[in-house]
Amino acid sequence: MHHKQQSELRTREQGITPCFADLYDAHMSFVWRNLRRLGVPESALDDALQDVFLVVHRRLAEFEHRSALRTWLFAILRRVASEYRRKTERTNCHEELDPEQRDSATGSPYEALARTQAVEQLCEVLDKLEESRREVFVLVELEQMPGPDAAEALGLNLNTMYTRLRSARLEFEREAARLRTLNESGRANART
Amino acid sequence: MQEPEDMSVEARTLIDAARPDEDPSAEQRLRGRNALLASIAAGGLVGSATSAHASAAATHGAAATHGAAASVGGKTLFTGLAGKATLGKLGLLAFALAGTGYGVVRWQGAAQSASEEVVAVVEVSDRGNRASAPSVTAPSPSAVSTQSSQTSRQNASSDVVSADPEGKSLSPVVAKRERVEQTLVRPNSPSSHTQDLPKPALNDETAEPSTEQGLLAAELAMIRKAKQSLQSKRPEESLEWLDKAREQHRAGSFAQERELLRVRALCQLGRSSDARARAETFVRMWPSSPWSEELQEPCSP
Repeated sequence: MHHKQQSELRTREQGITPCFADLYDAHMSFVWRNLRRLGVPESALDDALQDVFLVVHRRLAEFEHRSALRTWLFAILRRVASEYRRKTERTNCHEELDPEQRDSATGSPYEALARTQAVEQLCEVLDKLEESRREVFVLVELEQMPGPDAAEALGLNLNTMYTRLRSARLEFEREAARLRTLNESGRANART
Repeated sequence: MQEPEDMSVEARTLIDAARPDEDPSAEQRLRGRNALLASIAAGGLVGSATSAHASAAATHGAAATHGAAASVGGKTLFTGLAGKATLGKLGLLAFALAGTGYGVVRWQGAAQSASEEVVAVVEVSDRGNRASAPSVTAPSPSAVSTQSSQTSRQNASSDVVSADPEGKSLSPVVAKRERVEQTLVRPNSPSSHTQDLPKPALNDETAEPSTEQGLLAAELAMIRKAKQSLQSKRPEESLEWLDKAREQHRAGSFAQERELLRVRALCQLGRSSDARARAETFVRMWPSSPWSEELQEPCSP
């Protein structure tokens, strides 16, 4: 029997309801990274995260295991992200990290910086995608959610979802290539 | 329809390079939890004017969030999201954690290795809620706590975190700042920090609890009774309370606390194999619970 089914069965048998704190621990990272991928600026991540979990808490009773938990969570977090994005008008991929955050980065300073650049570059490319394509791309390509689940999370039919995914991939590839060209010419200029 | 074919290596590399750094650090996780806890405390100052919109907003996450995040002024503050029921519930949850063994709700992650310790203090009394809680018939509450210091501190604490009936709402911006201020950052210190921390100044004894709060308070009251019985070495009585709590609040908010106490009660009764079976289920269901570690070896002294 599937693990999830077993767990649900146990829940019913024993009257144990998975609680909010547990859900927070298990899915905080998922919510966090996807808020960022959907363009919530670094400085607003804490607030956006909190808003997501307040909605989750409020609506937990409505969740009836008809869909996967992460599908449900994504449906909530994309709305929150959309509001934050609208509020800040555009995301800022080069936003200054606050000192506290910088100091807490693990590994060597160089390593931390390099990793941050990788996230920044991803952010820059994602930022070029149109909102609805970005959501599909994040869910399927970055989160690797199966197509039908992704379609459900986004409230799309499967065909529409795949059409958007295809466009998103093309856009992403184009932007990734452009970024590489920029980086290379930047490095060449630095050498001369 | 066919799934589209895969992307270029270049695009894939860009994605993979970012992946190791996309998850929040331990510190960011800790900060997130502290913020959530602190907003519970801030809940005493916001949200009462909004309950009419609460359920509508709750079914429209985007609208609710917009209300919470963007509006400034006294009208739609924390609409739906931080309505008093929600925050009351979170507050009670925090209290339950305190009541079942965490004197101060305390989460430590990276802070253990960092030079400072971040402690979120949420002291909540259900005094305001108890008035409307459904009455409960059960064994007499003559429990004399064996952990008197902890219990008396709980009883003495009268900081009711609840909605403000007079609508002294804060703007979301202020409320968010409030969250941060509610989080105490203290220098590295020994682990006994339950005595000397200031209480959040959120006192409101006149709050009218909603039905939801009433239910939560009732459930919580049973959990507390179960704990008191256990502390007074009356495990059978404790189990009665826990059964009652499960019966009356099947989809209750304190399932973890209930199961934890049940394991402890079974241990006290000497039914260690039953306790172990329960504990195993607990750990499987909630592997990341703060109590899962304790429950790896239930009944160990």
